[in-house]
Formats: sequence, C-alpha cells, structure tokens
Amino acid sequence: MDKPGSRFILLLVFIIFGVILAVQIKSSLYSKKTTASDKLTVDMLKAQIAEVTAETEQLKAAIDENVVMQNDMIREYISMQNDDRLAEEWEMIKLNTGLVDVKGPGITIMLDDAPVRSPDMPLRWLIIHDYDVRTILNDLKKAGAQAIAVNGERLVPMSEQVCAGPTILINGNRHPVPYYIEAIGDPDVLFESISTSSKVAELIEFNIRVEIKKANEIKIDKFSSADNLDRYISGLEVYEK
Amino acid sequence: MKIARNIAMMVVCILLGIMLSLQYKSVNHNQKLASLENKRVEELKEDLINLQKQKNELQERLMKLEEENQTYARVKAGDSEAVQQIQNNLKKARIFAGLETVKGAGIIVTLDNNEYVHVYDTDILNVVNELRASGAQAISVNEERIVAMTEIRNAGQYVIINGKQFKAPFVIKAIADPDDLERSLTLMGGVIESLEENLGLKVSIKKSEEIIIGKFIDDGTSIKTDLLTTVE
Repeated sequence: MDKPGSRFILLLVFIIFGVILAVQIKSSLYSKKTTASDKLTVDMLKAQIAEVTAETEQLKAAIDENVVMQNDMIREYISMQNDDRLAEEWEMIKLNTGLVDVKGPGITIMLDDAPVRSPDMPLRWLIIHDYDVRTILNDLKKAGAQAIAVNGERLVPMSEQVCAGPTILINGNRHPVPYYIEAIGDPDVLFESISTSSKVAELIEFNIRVEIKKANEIKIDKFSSADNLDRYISGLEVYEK
Repeated sequence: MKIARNIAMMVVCILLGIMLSLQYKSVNHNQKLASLENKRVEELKEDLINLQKQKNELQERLMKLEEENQTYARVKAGDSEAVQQIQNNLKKARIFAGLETVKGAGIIVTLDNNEYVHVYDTDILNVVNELRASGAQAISVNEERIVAMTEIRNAGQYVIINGKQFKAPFVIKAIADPDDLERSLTLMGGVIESLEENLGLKVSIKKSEEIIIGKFIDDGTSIKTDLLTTVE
C-alpha cells in the first residue's frame, strides 16, 4: 500500500475518471438543452408554414373567383358592343395566348433520361437537354398544335426553355425530368409527325425514354401569370402609324 | 497480496478504457445531432421566407383584381372611366398576344450565311430562345412577329416562319433592356460565340433605343383555335 509507484498510478486514473465524468455530463446536458430548444423552433416554424400555406391557398381561391368575375364582366361588355369581330377576336386571344384553361384532342409526350448508364456512351448523350425539348416543341408547332404545355407550363409567346443545371427553366420556373408535354391539335397529324421526327429517333437511339400517346381530351391550364400580364409588356409601347 | 492488487489495478484500467471510448462516441453523437437539427431549422426558415414572399405577391394581385372588378362593375352604368379601363385591359391582352405593333428599346441581331455554311432553323431558334430567356417582350424575325405557336423550320433553301418563306440574312429584332440582351447573347461560350466560332456564320449585333416590331398579321388562317374549348 505504501509503494509510491502504484499510488501515483491510482491518482492518475482517478483524475482522468473525474475529467471524463465532467465532460460527459456537460455534453449530455448541452445536447438535451439544444435539441429541446430546436424542437421548439422546428415545431413553431412548421406551424407557421402550415398557417401561411393555408393563407396562400385562400388567396389563390379568391384570385380565381375574381378572375372568373372579371371574365364575365368583360364578356358582358363585349356583348354590349354588338361587335362580332371584337367578340371573335377576344375569344381567339383568350384561347391562343393561354388566358383561359382549354381542352381538346391531342397527344401527350413523356420524356425521361436513359434508365442506366451505358459504358460506351458519354453521360451527356443519355440525358435530356433544353434543345431536345425545344426541337420537339417546334415540331409540334410545325404540325399545327394549337396549345402546348410542358409540365403544366402553358407556352405563351415569350416562353423560354433554357438549361439551368439539372433542370430546365420554363416561364421562369424550374422543372426537372421527366418532362410531360401536352399538345392540343389533330391527334393523328401530331402523333405521326412526332413519332417519325428525327429528334425522337435520335433520343431513342440513346436509350432516352420517349412515350407518345394520343388522347381524346387533354386539359391544359392557363398561363400561370394570365391575370398579371403587365410585367411581360412593361417595355412595350403601342406604335400607331 | 501483490497479485490481487495488480489484478484490481488492471480491472480499473480496463473500465477506464471502456468509459473513454463510450464517452468519445456519445459526445460525437450529441454534436452531430445538434448540427442536424440546426440545418433543419435553417431549411424551414428559408421555406417560410419563400412562402411569405409568395403570399405577399398573391395579396397584391388580389388587391389589384378587386380594384379592377369594382371599376368594371360601373361599366354597365356607362361610367366612361370604367369603359376606358376595360378597353385598356383588352389592349394589354392584344399586346401580349402580339396583335399590336410595338416600339421600345432593344437589339437587332443579324445572321447571315458564309460561303460554306448556311443559317439553319435551329440557329434562329437558339437566338430567339436566348432572347426570350433574357426578358425579351416582343421578337420578330424578318418582320415576322414571333407568337406562341410560331414555328421556325427549314424547307430546302428556305426557312419557314409563320408559314412564310425566308432566306438569309435573318434580321432578328427584340425589345427589352438592350444591355441585358447584349450581355446574355455575347456571354463567353454563349449563343453568338457558338454561331460565329463553331459554325462560322456572319453575326452582327446592334443596340437601339427605338425598335419597331410589327404586329402578327392574322389572315384568319394563321392562328387556329378551332380544336380548343374553354374549360369553365
């Protein structure tokens, strides 16, 4: 018992033991405290998000209601004018430029990246690019499509389709694969011209998944900013000769 | 006696070792947990901010709509201000649809063949798309207004736009902030560089304070809507 060596060792052991105990207690206390307070903020944030989401839904519903009211009043105004040309033109503008939801016969096209990597082809051949989508849209327009949407985005005169990292930007919104293109027009003509197009042949060559289907009725939603056209024409001034 | 003491010492040391390793693991775990929670909080905060922004936009839109509707309601009574406003809105839709001749500041891009390479439909489409992406509000190619269903396609020596035939040079006009348009077109590795350097086409860009873009000429057959039905 009186050997100085073993006493020294015992001292060391108990010092380490004490330090460990202290660190452990501190660490567990800290973690309990932070998780508890974080849990509180997480719950609070979630509740707030749910609240704001509900409010935006209400706002959207109110906007839709007002749009319907406005359309009715415009229609009434136009019918008051007894001007057939004006009425016809207004109908055409609404349908053609995506100011209203439309339905009609047409085709749907689904595009998705190749399912597996292929050792003998570079990766960039196996994925869908903005120019692939653009070419198909142009092919649809050539074949007489009357209304087109990509992933629910109605194409309007200034709709862009540009690459933004792994997504494509359409009407200012990002969309990842797969792409669902819906087009209203003569289903047979559209189907024929897309399924025999060189772009689709090229995509299939690279194992990109392409599914083209005819449909008797396709519904295409209106342009998402149809009731807010100002920002799309802010720099334009009507020019009268 | 000595052996028993040594054994006791060994047991204490082993216990200490085990405790040390447990301790290390536990502290590490606690730290990871804390940072994970932190990240989640950050994500949620960002979501909330975005939602709030969206909500504010919607609120503004709703207020504007309600105001407009109140004015429209006076149309029946023959209120001239209300009639004016309804006509304004019809005009806005016509401008958006490309049925009005418009002017504004913008840019003129000219694409021309060189001796060996011709301008293809895809070259024009790429430029047009880039202009749209940089905020162009009206575009024409060889005075043909680009609208939602405008096709641009090759047909032999020609390029067909809105059903009409055109040959190079192609003059593309766009209205939007001229500097913005120029910057995005002349980006390093951008559209103009690839047309000029890779294909060898003759490309020129001119900014202008006043560009006039003619309206889409509707001869009654060019915009077809006979297959479209409004969904109420």
